[in-house]
Amino acid sequence: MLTIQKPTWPEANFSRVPYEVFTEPDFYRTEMERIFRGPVWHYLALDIELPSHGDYRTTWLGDVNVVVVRAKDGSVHAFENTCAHRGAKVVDRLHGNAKRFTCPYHLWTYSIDGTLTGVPLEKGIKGKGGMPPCFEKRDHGLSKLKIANYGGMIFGSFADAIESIEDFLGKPAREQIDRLLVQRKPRLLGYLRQRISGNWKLYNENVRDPYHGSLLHLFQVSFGIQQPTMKGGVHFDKDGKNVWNHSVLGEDNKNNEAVLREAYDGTDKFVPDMQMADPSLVQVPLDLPDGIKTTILSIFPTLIVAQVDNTYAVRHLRPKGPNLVELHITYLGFEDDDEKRLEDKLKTVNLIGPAGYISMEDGEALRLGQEGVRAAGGRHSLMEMGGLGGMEDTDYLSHEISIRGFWAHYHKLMQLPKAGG
Amino acid sequence: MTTHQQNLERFYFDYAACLDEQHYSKWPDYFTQECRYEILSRENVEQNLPAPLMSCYSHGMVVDRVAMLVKNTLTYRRMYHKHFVSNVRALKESGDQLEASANVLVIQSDLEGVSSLYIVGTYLDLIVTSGSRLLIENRRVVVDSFGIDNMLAVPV
Repeated sequence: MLTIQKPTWPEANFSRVPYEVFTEPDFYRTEMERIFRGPVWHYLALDIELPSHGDYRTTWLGDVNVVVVRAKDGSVHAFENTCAHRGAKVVDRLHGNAKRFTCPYHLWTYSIDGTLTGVPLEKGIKGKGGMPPCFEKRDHGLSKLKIANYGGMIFGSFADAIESIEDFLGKPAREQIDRLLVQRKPRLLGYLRQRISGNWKLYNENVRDPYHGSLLHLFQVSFGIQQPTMKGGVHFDKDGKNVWNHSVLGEDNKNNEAVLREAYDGTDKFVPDMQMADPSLVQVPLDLPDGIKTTILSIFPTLIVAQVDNTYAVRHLRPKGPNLVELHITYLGFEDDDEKRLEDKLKTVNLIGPAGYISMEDGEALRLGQEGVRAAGGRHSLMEMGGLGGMEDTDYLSHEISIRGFWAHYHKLMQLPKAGG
Repeated sequence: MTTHQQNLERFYFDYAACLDEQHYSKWPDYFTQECRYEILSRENVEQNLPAPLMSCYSHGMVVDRVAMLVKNTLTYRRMYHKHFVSNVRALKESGDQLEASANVLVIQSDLEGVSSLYIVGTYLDLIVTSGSRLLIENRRVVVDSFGIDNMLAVPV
């Protein structure tokens, strides 16, 4: 097993992150082993994507392609999409319905739960060839994942010893999944895919960074809609790895322009004179009556359940080596949406995704981040916004505490040398 | 249809040049007041899933889509774009409306002169003829390259 000696983590509070973690192939390989095959629940799919017996989807758990499938009794199975024979990819579709899975190479056939059921010419022909007598099909199924479900979200893990999904998620995450995906039945509206030239962990930093929200994303500010004075905060799980970040529109917006001028002082980004030609995009009412304007629920290591204004989406990170990540977005409406609400959701999708007025800039921030750290080995980032105390819940947004929470858990799972030592 | 074909090709080429030359404030001039514009992934279209990558359901939304490019307040990757519009087909005429389609390939080139694919897809259009002038009433851009490279800041 690879032992990572360098680089060092200068501060025990994780306010410094060595840039090598974003660029070095050794780190990436070790992540695939210790995090992606480690004691972690990984998001695979939504229940609503597999409504019927035999429905399957293929997805990614790190570098591993995984088939997720609905069995006759309603249970879900998931297995590595790699034939037990010579390793070929068995299912070469993104989705479909199957009674069984047959590898195209030598037609080895598996049942819905990944058990090997057929080996052509197993007994040879006329007593010649075939598998040896000791060969038992039951010993050679597809590599299966352990499965859990919370709130219609299907999770899988390669680890044998792992806590319950409820304990893994923690209370803030469970409450937000209940709020966003359980109290109303979601309806699949489509997928959005964005291939971002940055390390997958940079995206984890991005979604745990409420500090950048009103600074990078000038859309709302440009059109005079949002305020950096927004109220909100973050709530952690027991490990600091999962965090619910939310904002609520404040009532006191009178001094908005003065506050904005001060916040953007010295930049040329504040252009408050813009009016939308069609402001209906930002006038869509929130479906839920709780007044929460954004909810970014970041679940370690690759899942984000997001409500940005009145958009609802599951974002899934699919690392493609140290320098590239696919951001896969499942965009949702709800079963009780009437025609108007559905129309509105096809309109508000313009806020998120690769062409989203708000979200597209995150892709650019990641690209610039990766470009910046590529040759910066031996150096580290600086994260002191919000102070250097423990990973405590906050009722304010200008901080980077939740990013440190991610790194603390990452550092632990990666079994790296003691930070700040 | 020959005249339509020629007019249509010229219209498509002018539209492409408008975007290639970064005259973003002129882009809305190619649309009617009641227009619809959508960029859709082929993946969603084939599964009958309605979510677009980008959508404008009014002329105002078309104007707003390029407002941050015009005002320069969007943080986005500066690229040169070149549209290659081919297989232009005037399909069906009824009254002042013309159904048409074309393939579109857009290559992006960064500030250090490195080129890559921005979009490859198909325009599925409803064009209205107003005198000698053509305008887009409805454009659906169905994209084969829906694994979008970083971001889709500039319309197609």
